[in-house]
Amino acid sequence: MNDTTGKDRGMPDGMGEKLVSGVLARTSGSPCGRARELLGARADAPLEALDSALLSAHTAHCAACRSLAAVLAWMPQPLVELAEIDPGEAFTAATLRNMLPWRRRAARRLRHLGVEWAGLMRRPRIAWETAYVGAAIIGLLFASPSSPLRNVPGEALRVAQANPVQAFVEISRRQLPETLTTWGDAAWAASGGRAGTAARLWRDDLWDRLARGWQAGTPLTGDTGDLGAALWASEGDRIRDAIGRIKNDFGAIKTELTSAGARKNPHKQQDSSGERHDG
Amino acid sequence: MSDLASILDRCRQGDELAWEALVRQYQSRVYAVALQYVRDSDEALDLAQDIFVRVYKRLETFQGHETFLPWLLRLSRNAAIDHLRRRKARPPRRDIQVEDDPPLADTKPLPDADWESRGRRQLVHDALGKLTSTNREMILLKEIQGLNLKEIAEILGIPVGTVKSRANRARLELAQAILSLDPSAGVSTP
Repeated sequence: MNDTTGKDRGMPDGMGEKLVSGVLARTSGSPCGRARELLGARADAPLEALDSALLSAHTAHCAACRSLAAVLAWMPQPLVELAEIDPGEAFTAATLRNMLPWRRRAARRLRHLGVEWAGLMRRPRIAWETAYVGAAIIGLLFASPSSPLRNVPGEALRVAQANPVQAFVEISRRQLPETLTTWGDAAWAASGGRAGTAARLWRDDLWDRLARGWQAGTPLTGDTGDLGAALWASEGDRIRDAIGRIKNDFGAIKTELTSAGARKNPHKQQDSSGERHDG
Repeated sequence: MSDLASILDRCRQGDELAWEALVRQYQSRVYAVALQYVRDSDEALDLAQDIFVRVYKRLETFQGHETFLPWLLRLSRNAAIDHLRRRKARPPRRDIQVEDDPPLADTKPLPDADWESRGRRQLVHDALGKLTSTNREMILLKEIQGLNLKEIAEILGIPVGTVKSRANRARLELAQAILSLDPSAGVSTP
């Protein structure tokens, strides 16, 4: 294309423009849409030579697109200047001052949390609560119909009586850590944190450590491997203690539930323990 | 001034001086962003402070491999959106007229040669008030704050191609808004 300026050679003033407008109106329509598309794209990357020439030819004749091109040409500078606007001298001081109440509140909350935690750990019932929640988790783990461990208890208990470490190994192989995590989180949510804290501590501190060891792939056999021996040596007392507490607490929970049931529904209790009704 | 990573580390350790330095370094930018969202200088000051409180609370979540500015702008955008939602639920006592944008504060005296530049800045600021919020946000992130297409796509959660086309459209809409406010703005200057 040799001449893209489209000068009205040999035509009366304005006639060439009229002719072009008439032809475009009856054929492709206004080229301004395409011109604006190129004007927008030109801000991101240089146009191809031909596109650039066609655009120049169009803007030479179209006042609206020429104005738009002029604005687009100077617009980037003031836009960049708008990236930072000084909020005034007082802003920094006001911002830092407004941060103080929040920071004080946060520090106070942290202190309260520490005091509450220390108090929680000093309470004589903490061990009982830990065992209680642990027992509840274990109970739910084996009693729930949807539990993947539902079919395990018989075998697990049998092995547990013979060798507690072996029992943990067998259970862990059936994805105990994941299940425990689920139940631990559920206990956390359901108890509003306090009982859940105990459960989580118990779980994190004992079960997870054991589970990680087992999942590392060290095979444990009946007579226990090195890891089993090490685990048993370091955790044996705690495992025995935990199992003992679980056993005791199962008994306590059962008694408590039975007596609570009896208090709540003495007639039913009487019925179930008394005569049988006909019909 | 030390490098930003060191300042951020110190802020995370609770160094108040580092935090003050960070606020000073970014306050103009955060205020500019807040102003584009709320279009009211007093409200923008409040929002900018809220943004800094949010930054302070969430500094721990800033990952070292990220670039700070896009992270800051993402946080600012979220804070602005929350602020606008709250404003919609509980409108302020006085009406905020989007049509009557406040003049941009100039804290430094300008030489005469800068009058034209100041006039254009004010004109662009006013024209931004005429845009749809989507187009204004696109101009803010791309043209004003200078983020690249990928960073904008991540902040807005849209594909890069969409960002590109929206950015073009927004730029044209802004130019047309400028011309509608001041037709003489389209006269080419030598």
